[in-house]
Amino acid sequence: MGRSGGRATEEEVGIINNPIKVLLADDHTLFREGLAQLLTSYGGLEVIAEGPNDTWALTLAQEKKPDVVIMQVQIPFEKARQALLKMRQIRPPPKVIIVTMFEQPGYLRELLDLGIRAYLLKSVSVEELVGAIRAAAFDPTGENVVISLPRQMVEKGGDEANGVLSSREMEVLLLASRGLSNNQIARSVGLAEATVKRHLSNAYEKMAVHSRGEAVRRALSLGWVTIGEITQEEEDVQGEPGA
Amino acid sequence: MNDHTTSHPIKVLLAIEPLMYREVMASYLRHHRPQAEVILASGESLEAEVERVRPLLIIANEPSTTAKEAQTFWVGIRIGEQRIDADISIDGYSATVQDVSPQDLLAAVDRAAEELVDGA
Repeated sequence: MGRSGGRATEEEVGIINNPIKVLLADDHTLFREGLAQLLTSYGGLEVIAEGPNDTWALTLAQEKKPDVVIMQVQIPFEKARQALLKMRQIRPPPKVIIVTMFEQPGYLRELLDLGIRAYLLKSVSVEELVGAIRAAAFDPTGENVVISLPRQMVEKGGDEANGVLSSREMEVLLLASRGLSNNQIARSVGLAEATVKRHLSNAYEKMAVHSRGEAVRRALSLGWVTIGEITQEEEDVQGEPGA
Repeated sequence: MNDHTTSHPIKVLLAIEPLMYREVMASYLRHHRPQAEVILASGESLEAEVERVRPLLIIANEPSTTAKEAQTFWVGIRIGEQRIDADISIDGYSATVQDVSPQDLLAAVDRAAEELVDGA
């Protein structure tokens, strides 16, 4: 079957007759179109649609009811969170696999809470992605997740488990790192200024820092934010860049 | 760019990072241009592989100094947050393609093969 060759087993015949329906969302056309073709060349997988972002993915998932949705982490993270929450309301809910360039364990816990079935970096092999798709599709309970991260990152994440920020804290910290005042941040994310202060205070405490400058430097050194994210204009953030 | 298939065998060295992108592009090129020999290299081993393989066309994140010195044809891939752009340089022809697609890379392979035939 597919790439493995040889005579198909009964199980494989079943997979061929009832392939895993995959919906693929990524804003890099080169990668997305190429991956769609490559996945189709594997036995038992059918890419039913491919498009640029999580908004698109949500709309198509509601319409086409895929078994698996492959998507990236959109920024701002709140948009990704909302998309994943709505994805869970689809019946039956698709299994979501995050394929990303973000090496940010801080997001991982939040994504797991949102029910993702796998989290893979784009630095891993396509074979691992295919394995994750099959694992997600054939695990009806969702008790197990597939996480593919460099060992060093996982170990580092474990050491700093208490220092992981929530998605909201991360979002506020990112906006603060762009030089926005508490008031501007509050208006940008639709929170009260006091709530923004509380999120920042919590973030400082978790990061064991005492100022914005320290927090930004530490977030950069930990890879929680990138220079590109900090220098990005707020207007751009209202769009849907991903990675 | 022209978008017709070529029957001329050429060596293409593919050194795009990250790995998943490299594998996806290799599969795409091999599927649509089976006569092309597609060799994979990591970004770190690019220079050594250029020396060893002597490819006609290099597709990599950074234009290779060795490639330029060897006057090899190359495609420089620039991965941005929202899209991927490509700088294509093939024997005097140069262009920047925004939001590059797999078909654009096929066209670059075809153009390199054309130059090989014309120069033979």
